[in-house]
Amino acid sequence: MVSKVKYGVLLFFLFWVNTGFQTQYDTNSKIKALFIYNFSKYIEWPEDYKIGNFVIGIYGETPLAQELEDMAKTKKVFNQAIQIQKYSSTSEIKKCHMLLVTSKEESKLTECISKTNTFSTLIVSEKEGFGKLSGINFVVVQNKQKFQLNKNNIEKRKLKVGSSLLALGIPVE
Amino acid sequence: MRVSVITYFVFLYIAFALPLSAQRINIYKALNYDKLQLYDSARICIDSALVHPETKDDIMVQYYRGFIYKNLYVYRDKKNKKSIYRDEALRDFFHFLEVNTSEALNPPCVKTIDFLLISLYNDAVTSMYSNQIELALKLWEKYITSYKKLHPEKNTLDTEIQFYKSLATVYSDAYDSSKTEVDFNKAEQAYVYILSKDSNNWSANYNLGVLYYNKMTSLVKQQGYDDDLNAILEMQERMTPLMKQALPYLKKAYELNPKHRETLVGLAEIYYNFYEYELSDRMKLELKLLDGK
Repeated sequence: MVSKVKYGVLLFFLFWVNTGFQTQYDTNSKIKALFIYNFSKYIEWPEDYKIGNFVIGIYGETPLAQELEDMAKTKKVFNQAIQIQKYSSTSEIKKCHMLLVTSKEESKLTECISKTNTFSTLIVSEKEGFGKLSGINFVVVQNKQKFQLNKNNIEKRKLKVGSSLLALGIPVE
Repeated sequence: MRVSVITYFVFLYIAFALPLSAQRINIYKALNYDKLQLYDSARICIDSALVHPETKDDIMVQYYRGFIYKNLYVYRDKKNKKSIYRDEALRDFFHFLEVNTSEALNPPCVKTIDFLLISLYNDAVTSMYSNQIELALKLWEKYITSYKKLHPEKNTLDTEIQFYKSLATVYSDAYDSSKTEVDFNKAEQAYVYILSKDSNNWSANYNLGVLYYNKMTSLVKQQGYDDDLNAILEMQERMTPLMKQALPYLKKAYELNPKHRETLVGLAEIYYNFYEYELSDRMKLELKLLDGK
């Protein structure tokens, strides 16, 4: 009985030490980052945007920023190094290849669009109903991340959308 | 040696006072050798008596053989988890119990079987701890089958659940390292088995939910940036069923123990990653209340 108790305690310990999640992991941010990197591959920017760094601007707080920064350390857009540029006010926004306007800053989307009007900037939003304003809008459909694609808004910025991206995006007129 | 000294001398008397066959003498020689700790000689004598037509049906032969083989196991073979001596001792004792009509010798027999079963259990546990899983399972199977046969009135549910919990942990650990389907399936099956015996087992519910959830996050972590859009969409197709599998178990764990911090953390995360932000926020609020914030 004593021996069985001893090993019973051992068994309990063996079990007890292994409860809990591996780490807290934001899968949503990773998925969005994967999409954003693919947007850079399947959209063509004008020639003068193919020199220097590929700048992804982020306006607003988002956990996606860390994922994008990690991505920027190892990935390139063709030969361009990726630079993540965070903006805390619309007045800071400069020329960039993409501008992600976070859901927390939804009220500033129009202002961001206006601020980048003369640039070939792909505006990326993440709020239901914003597909008509931005170029690409992240939406959730049946618990999966999808994206709406507004070809007109994108092409107005002298950007060309690849057929692969067009095929997989949810079209917005 | 569990046979009493009195019994031993009684048989010695009978051996010399009455005319006996060679096989009967073999039995007494076996007992004598055993007493003198000459176990190999004891084994030879008792094995001879076991097969000889004159003595093979004598249930006492198996009774004595059980003790001799038990001693062989204890004094020669204790570190051998696959000990044939132990197996033979158990076989002899169980057979003795089946055919014995007198109750008098049952208690020492049962006590010795219990002793041997504990050694089986302990070997199963240490095998599991040293990652010899197949051996652990074989020993466990022998243990639990024999224990239930010996003690049909006893409830073994708690012991079984404890063993399978540990098994599931070992498999989960293996899966964490290997990320193979084989290890995942084994861990899953172990938890499912526990829940089939006890559907309200909190830790099995929680850990099975965690297993599915961790598999889902691994899928996402492993996804490379060089993979194309279709690969991202396919990955999400594979994620969703895993999240749907994880959720009911974590919810059950929450129902069973709403104050378990890790469960709240897990549910908050899984709802968030499932885009159920309101439910995620609700869990985060409960977490804050639990933390006293």
